[in-house]
Amino acid sequence: MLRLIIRRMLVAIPMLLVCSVLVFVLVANAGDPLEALRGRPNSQQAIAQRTATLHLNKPIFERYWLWFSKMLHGDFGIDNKGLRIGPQLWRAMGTTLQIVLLSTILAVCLGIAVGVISAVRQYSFFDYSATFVSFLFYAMPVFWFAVLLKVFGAIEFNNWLENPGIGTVGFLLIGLLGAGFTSMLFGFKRTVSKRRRLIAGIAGFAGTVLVCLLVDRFLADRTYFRWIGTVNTTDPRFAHQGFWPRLGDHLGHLLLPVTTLAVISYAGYSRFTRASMLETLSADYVRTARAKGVSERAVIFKHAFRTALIPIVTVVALDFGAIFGGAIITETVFSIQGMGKLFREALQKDIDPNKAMAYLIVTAINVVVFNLIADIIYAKLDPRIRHE
Amino acid sequence: MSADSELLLEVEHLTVDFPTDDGVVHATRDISYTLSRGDVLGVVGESGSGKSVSSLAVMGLLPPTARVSGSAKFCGQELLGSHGAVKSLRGNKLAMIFQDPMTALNPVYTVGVQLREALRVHNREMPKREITERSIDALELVGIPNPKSRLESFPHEFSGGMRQRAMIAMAMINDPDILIADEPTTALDVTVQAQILETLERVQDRTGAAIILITHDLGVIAGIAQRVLVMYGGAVVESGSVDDIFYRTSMPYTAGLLGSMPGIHAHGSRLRPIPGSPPSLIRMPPGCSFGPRCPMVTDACRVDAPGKFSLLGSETHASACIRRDEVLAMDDARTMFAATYDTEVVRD
Amino acid sequence: MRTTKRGKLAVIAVGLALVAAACSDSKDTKTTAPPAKGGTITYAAEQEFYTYNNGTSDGNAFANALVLNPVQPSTFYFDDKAALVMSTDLLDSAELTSTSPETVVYKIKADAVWSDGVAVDCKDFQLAWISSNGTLTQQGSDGTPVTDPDSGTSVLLFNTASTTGYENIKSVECADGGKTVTATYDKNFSDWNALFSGLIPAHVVEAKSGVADIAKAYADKNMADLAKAAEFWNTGFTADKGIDPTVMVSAGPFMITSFTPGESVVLEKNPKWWGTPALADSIVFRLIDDATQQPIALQNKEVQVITPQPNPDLLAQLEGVSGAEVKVDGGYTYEHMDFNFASPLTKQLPVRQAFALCLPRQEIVDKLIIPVNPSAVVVNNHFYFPFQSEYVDNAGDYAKVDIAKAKSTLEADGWALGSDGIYAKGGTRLSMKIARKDPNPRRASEVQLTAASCKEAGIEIIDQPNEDIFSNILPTGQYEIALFAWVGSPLQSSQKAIFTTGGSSNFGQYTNTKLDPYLDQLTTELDPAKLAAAADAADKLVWADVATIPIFQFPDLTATDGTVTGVIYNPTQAGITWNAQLWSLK
Ligand SMILES: Nc1ncnc2c1ncn2[C@@H]1O[C@H](COP(=O)(O)OP(=O)(O)OP(=O)(O)O)[C@@H](O)[C@H]1O
Ligand code: SF4
Ligand SMILES: [Mg+2]
Repeated sequence: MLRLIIRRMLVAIPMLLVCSVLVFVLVANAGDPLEALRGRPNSQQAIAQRTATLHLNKPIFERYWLWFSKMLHGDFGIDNKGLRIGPQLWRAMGTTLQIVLLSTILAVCLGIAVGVISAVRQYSFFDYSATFVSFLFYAMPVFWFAVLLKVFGAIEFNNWLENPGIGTVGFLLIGLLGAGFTSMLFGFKRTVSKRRRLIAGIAGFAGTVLVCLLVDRFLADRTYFRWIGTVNTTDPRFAHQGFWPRLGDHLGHLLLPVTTLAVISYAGYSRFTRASMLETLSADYVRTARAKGVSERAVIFKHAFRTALIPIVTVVALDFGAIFGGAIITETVFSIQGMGKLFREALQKDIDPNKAMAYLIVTAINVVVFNLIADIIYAKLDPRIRHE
Repeated sequence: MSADSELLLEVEHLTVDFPTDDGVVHATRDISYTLSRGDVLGVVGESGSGKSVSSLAVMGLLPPTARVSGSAKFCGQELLGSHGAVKSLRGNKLAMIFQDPMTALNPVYTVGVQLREALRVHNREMPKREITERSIDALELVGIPNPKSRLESFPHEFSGGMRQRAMIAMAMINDPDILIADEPTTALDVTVQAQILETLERVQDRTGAAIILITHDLGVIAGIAQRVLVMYGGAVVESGSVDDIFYRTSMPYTAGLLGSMPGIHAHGSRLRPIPGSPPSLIRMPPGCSFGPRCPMVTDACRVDAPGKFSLLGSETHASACIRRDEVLAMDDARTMFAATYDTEVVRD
Repeated sequence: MRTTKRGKLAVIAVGLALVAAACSDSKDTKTTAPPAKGGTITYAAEQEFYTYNNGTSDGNAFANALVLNPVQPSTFYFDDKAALVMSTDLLDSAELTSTSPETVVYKIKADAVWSDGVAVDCKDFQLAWISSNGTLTQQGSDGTPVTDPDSGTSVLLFNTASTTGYENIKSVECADGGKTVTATYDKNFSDWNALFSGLIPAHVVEAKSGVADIAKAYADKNMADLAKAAEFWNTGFTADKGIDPTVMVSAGPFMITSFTPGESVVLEKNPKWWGTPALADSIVFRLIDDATQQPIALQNKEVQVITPQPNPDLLAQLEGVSGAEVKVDGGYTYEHMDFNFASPLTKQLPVRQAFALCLPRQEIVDKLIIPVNPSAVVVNNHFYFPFQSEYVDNAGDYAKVDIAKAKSTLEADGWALGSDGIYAKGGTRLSMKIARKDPNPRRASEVQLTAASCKEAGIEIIDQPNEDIFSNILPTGQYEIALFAWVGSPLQSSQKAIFTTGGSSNFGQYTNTKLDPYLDQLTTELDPAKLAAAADAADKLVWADVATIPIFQFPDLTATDGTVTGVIYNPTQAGITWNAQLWSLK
């Protein structure tokens, strides 16, 4: 294993070097970093200044070397606004990491759970609805979905928080949800009869409505803070408060962007899991396990799921490396200063070579690192690779 | 076989249908047989004739889309249906090994893990030490060298033959009463085949389990089986002792199978595959399902009537052919295909 | 009082009148301010604040100006009519004591202090002048000036955004313990009252760069010290280091108290503020760079004030926000048609005249701008805008489309209508290309409307879209007319570059020797009345030459969620926060 890692790293380093040279040349030719200065009142001086800071009058390989030697020390230079890029980059990565990590966890958990159930109960009502929902999510424009979330998940929900209560419609809806949930929970096994499912459903309905009644009593005459944010990741008014209120505020701001990203990748993961599970469920060794008398639960999880997990985890790890590049649309719509927006800024109007380079090199490193991680996980999960 | 031996399995009118988009696949139709302790029952037939489906049905391992009817009783206990006892018996009293040892073992667990699992699911209380010991014993029994260290190997570190042995060990570890071996040697090369069969025999000697041996290969059957079911188009078309099947053939299809089998052409005759291809299990030809390929087909064969093509004959030797007596009377039934070999076979 | 609900056009018109009435004297508003309510008012910033020094070339950005308006002291500020008004908070007086040489004496209020307790004084003025007069250049290690090999331009020591005005100043002298400042010019500068705005605290630069006295270093030509000071001035104020309260000091009603990169800037009351206290306790800037998301944030009560670029969709969106108060005004950016005087066609006056007569400016405004800004009008002056008192309609004959006159003008010049309905002279068809940025649906429609109208006058108009006309079309000269926008300025001194012979922004190479002296006067005239007269004379000449044709002002939108008062649109580069101290919760 260690040898595999070392070998892969030895391959990765020259690859990254070549990549950095290529990207540097591409960025250098991607546009004129002086463009925006040309119309300015003081343009001559400003151009001279920026030419000097970006070493634009030096040959490209000297420029590359200057950039590279600084980069090795973690110095990504300054951007066109005169700001150091390093801190912006780490911050953007931290922000992106937060939303990506949360959304990936959410999407992976949900996607895998739904995918497994869909596969185990192929062509059931659940499977069809899950398929419908994931195709819906897949086809939905991110931007549109984000706005929809903002309207219902933030504005309407916050309005409700200010004057909370569960209306009759609410009782009915939540009750029905509860009914569906319990009947699904109890009816997971194929052998459970319709009547039992119905009874479970009715019990679920009654139970949830009862809980709702209690909650409603509790909510009456209360009013809550508008918790869910539609932009940024914090509300500056919380800056001076304690850890818990700050965390609460932060989560209230992460909720919608994380949901948006999660929903997009959820669709992929649930489909992928379903396909992968269907494949392993029909594998010979699953039949062997059944023939041995292993319980259905153990067959699904210990045998089918464990092997189905190999490609899933690999794909998640690879996705993770790619998604580190940021989610340009989601970050823009929610005004979150993540990697996607950093990249957009680097290319907007006049190109910002140092910023673009910093972004690209960090993204490249991420992709390489997560490829490596994916390989390691793959090897860990699949003994056939491990022993090669 | 001995008449007084204990009756283990009693299959009656076993029928399996698969509803598909193209129509209902009648994978097995009306199969009945019995199996006693110590029996080795051979099941032969071309690919797609329903050999696997019929045994998977007994094991309760068919996909949920399958519609199963009829009955299969293990020591009087009904196995089929949602309340069937098969779940608790599977892997314990009833064991099965499969055709392709390369894919039948889970690649992500060591052989030991999979062996121990087989033991543990039926012996929850058994101490770990004993489980391991018995696993080692099981591997030893099937002739795997260094069984102790081999427990830690992954399936991909085993050769095909060793995997199949491991499979047999896994199947036998709980001392089952019945072992269904579904083409255990098809995927293996000839020398290994012999070893595996030898292993099976040895294991049976030790445990006294009854074996249902499914194969295309009549040669295999000839070696170890006492009784044989010949399947065609989802139904048993001839059943009898090995001698009945080989030397008192009473079904043209069996004769065809014998003729297409290398190694036992006693009279130096040519190897002759049965012309044509197996029937569609969705739309069976009317009358005898073998009719379109049968050199002895007559107009009567194409007319259906209730029970007309069911197994008839003695209790020990029965055939579904209406001309069974004529076939039985032939010197060498295999020669009947010589006439038709080069002529065009007319399908319905 | 100042804004009205969206969707009721008549009410908006009335509202405009109200605004005009209410805001004609902002000093008056200040004195009659309602009692302070406190609280926080949040503004949606479209771009992020990133430096306290808005005077550097890198740092010069609207986003910074918006935050710094109520933080840094200025001698004069632009009011909502774009008039420069002396800050009675900072100054007792600012007097033009001599016009030859131009001499301005500023008297700084005795109690004016920075938030760290250091007095606002003459040194801050001196720093502004030293940093932006363009005399100091960077020196290499061998003592020779650093120059750009391509242009030969030497790199300035202080990376200033503009030397305009300051380069005319000969000296900035101090008296009265630094509370009196005398700026003496060696060349007159008409917009002197626009200088010394957004002052940077000299004592901070000195303390952080370790230079004892910048003015002295300048007087002594101590390049080593000046380089140290410049280094800090250039880079020391950027927000990437976070908010250092010892650096980003305030001499305004608010001070910067917190900054979350990528998210927000918080201004809170400056405890050392000596003037009239601000009404709100805190002004928050939250970065929402996607304008379409701003109305949603407004609706979610995350922000109270937004100023996104308006478009019909956005207005419709705002219409759905209950309680929102929306107002659209014409700003300083204006659309115009610019003729290419190097083109054989458009260098002929009759051709330009005929085009001006068929250019459907009112129709363009009606169809394309009114839906966004119901009060939009056609702009008929090159030097002043309709909201300014000096604005005069000088369009004359060109105020309205007159097809018949366009035709007769051409015919009088010897053009004859061809069989294809297009005029021709000497074998040349009157077919002209309008260069414009692409993609830009609004400009495409403008050209379409123009082509339709001018077709009737026998002039063929061809759309010439390009993604970057300034790089790809204008330098080639292969066009007749360029359609683009100028970011206008209330400073008349800035007009010269556009209209004068060889001016840096005179893309069409227009030249009129009678006009040039007036343009020079615009940069040097110190008498406001004479300045306005010169601008008027210049405008009449430009109209007579039909050199460029203004069409409309770009609409600017101001919307609040209805819970705040005092938010008043300002068309100048000051932006909406020009009077942030008067923003108040209702
Ligand atoms: N799940 C299923 N759905 C539909 N048809 C099926 C299914 N499983 C088996 N069949 C059909 O049932 C028929 C019998 O299959 P079976 O596997 O029993 O054949 P077999 O005799 O074992 O052949 P082989 O020698 O190739 O293993 C085949 O035609 C097959 O296509
Ligand atoms: S019944 Fe007829 S067709 Fe069928 S096997 Fe016998 S002879 Fe052949
Ligand atoms: Mg089979």
